Amino acid sequence: MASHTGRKGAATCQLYMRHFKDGSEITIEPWRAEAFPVIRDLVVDRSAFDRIMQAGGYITTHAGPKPDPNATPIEPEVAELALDAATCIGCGACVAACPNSAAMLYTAAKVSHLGLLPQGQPERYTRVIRMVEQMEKEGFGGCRNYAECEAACPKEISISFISQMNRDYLRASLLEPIDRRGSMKSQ
Amino acid sequence: MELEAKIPPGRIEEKWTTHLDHIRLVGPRNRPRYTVIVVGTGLAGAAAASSLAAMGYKVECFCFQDSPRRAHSIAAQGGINAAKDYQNDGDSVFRLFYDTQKGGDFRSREANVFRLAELSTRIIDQATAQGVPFAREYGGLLANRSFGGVLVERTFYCRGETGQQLLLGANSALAQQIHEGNVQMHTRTELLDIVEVDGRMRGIVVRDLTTGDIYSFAGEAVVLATGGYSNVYYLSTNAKGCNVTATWRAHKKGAGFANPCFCQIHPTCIPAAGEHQSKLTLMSESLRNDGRIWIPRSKGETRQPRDIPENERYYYLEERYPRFGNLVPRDVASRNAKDVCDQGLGIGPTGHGVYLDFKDAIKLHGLDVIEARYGNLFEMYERITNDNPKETPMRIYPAPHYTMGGLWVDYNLMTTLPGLFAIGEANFSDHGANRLGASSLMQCLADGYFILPVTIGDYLSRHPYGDVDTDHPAFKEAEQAIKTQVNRLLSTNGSRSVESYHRELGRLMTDHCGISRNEAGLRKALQTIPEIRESFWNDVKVMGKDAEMNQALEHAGRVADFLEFAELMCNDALTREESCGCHFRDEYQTTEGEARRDDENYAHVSVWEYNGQDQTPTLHKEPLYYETLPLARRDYKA
Repeated sequence: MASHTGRKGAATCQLYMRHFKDGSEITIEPWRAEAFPVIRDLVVDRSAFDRIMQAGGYITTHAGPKPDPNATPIEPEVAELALDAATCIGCGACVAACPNSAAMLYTAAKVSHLGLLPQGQPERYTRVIRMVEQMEKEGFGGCRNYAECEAACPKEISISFISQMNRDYLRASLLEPIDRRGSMKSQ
Repeated sequence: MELEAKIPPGRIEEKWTTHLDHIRLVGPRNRPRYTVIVVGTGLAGAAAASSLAAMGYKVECFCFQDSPRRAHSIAAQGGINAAKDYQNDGDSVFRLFYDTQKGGDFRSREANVFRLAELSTRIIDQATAQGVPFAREYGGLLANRSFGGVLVERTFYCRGETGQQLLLGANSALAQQIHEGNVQMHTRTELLDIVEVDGRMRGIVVRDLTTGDIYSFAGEAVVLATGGYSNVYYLSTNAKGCNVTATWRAHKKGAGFANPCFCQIHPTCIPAAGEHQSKLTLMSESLRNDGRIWIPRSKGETRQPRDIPENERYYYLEERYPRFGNLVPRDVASRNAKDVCDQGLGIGPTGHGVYLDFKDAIKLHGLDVIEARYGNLFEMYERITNDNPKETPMRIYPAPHYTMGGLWVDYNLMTTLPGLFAIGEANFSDHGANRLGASSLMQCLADGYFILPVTIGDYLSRHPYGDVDTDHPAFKEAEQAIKTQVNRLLSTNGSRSVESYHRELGRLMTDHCGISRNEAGLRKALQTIPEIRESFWNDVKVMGKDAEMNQALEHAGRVADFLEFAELMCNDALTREESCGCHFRDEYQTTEGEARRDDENYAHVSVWEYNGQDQTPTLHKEPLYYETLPLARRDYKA
């Protein structure tokens, strides 16, 4: 459904009739993006988002014993910032709102959530490379700084996370190989 | 039906470790030869699927949503309990065990509850390692809040979206296993039957919700992590898609269903606005930490809440329960809200509402602090009701929320059917007759990360693998039965919508099997449900076709199951002639109006066996033993 509702910080399903003026015309349509094929009516296939996550949106860990979380203090501001990114619900409004159908805000939110936390550091640079590559493979467009995504985001995620992701991506591409598993190009 | 709980011997503190020491395991080289089918990708399902896959098992994982991360665990707001004692306020594993057992009104199995408390601390470690951004204090250490029914602060949280963050954590682990090829993920696929071959549960029949195809999967074990059945009330806090189909169809295959009448009505929800509402919204219980609940003292009050002076406000929880005040457990809070509204003191257009007021908390802590704690909840409330809770009190009313009942499982989380396991809300094991706040996330993750992945090995190691595939006639037969049902639903072509039946059933259940129940009401419901069911099968109209995405058809199948299940729920409520936890029978109360338990006759789990369509089910009883905690009256007044 169209993400342009004129109401900040709300998904389409959170709108009430009182949010519209009497007599105004309401247009509904499915998310429009090549990477989100329409299944039926307003239903689209967003599995591209899942595949971006599967490409690297995790911290490798098993369900065995772990160190006590208080062994690694995290500044509350950092935890809050990570949560600002992690609050993304993966709705896809950012993609639908973007003239380029870019999934940069979604990917950046996922990359930054883990990249900001100490637990996410060991895989920080391989993660950003893998997720960005998958994002491109899915057929999403590139970011041209329209910032429509931020305006449409129901969770008000900031586009500054995109700069953060771009910095990490650039750094990862220029850096010495740091991944012993050989998933990055070695020099 | 055999109810062998398989509780390990020894002192309660040693049971789980002893069990682990002696349990049979599957070796790492053999694990890839076993296929485990996991249905549901909420906290329990995603945690189990990812952990099993990480151990090396081959996992086939199913969800009816478009993505595994859209399971309804995502909606849990307040937090997750763990006996870390970070606040140095006297918390311990034993105390968490005690609170959960007492909160459940002594209707759960001691050994299971203790194990849950024991594993609680590891969940926080696990989630943090996955990158769940729990709230931190200034020094960078984890922060806690408190929840209803307890006297310590042991709840960990991520603003008001703890469920979402824990689910993202569990789902990131699942995503990794999908990427590595250890989990085959099937989205938009709904379980419709479970298949038995030679006395063991060997697979499932599913419907592809996009194409309508019906087909099967075979494996060595089936794990149901399919959640609860609150939507039997039509209006509940559950997502519209939540249903009883998986557990009900397992029950019809022979799995015992335990305590179906134990359903928690959550005290803090936004009241229904009118007849055509299709869903209720929960406001986190954590609001009761700082909010004060009250109603006007006199009937027919027309003033705005802010204009009602202090002495004309009735803070009924604080007056009735001075020690716990607004933090009494959920069942007590809900019952009291209904009680004052039944007296005609309720507020709002429907008279079904009470105030939850933050005025004093804002005065005490400042707006900044309160906003930091509940900002997103306030925002959500304002969006829905157009009222600003910082200026005027919230209006709340209880709504069906969580079901403590579920498939009966033994200590290994296996149902009465060999090879069929149930975890999370889908089983009955840990919350007795009432669940304490912030305990559902804990139970789902304990089951999924730490218990099932190990205990399933004890079953698998005793059986061969790869000896049955979907060509077996049992699968073909089950597929055919499902196709027949689908055709019947589509060809009835009557005059009433599926929604109208669901609403009718919901109203009946809310009236007669809700916050309080009595014999006359339950008998009436038991008489009416078969009538609704008959009308449904003769007069329902399901639009659309079979071989396409057809949400009306999906809903019809689920409502058909609710129409059968509701009867079992009422039967269970009728035969439990006592009041305990959320099950409040009007006939069994103390002179003060509190629940009166009957430990002599009802200290057992009621487990129902299915005997066929329109046959009376058989009641079996698993006696409960109280070896560690002596039975005590659940009193929040003293």
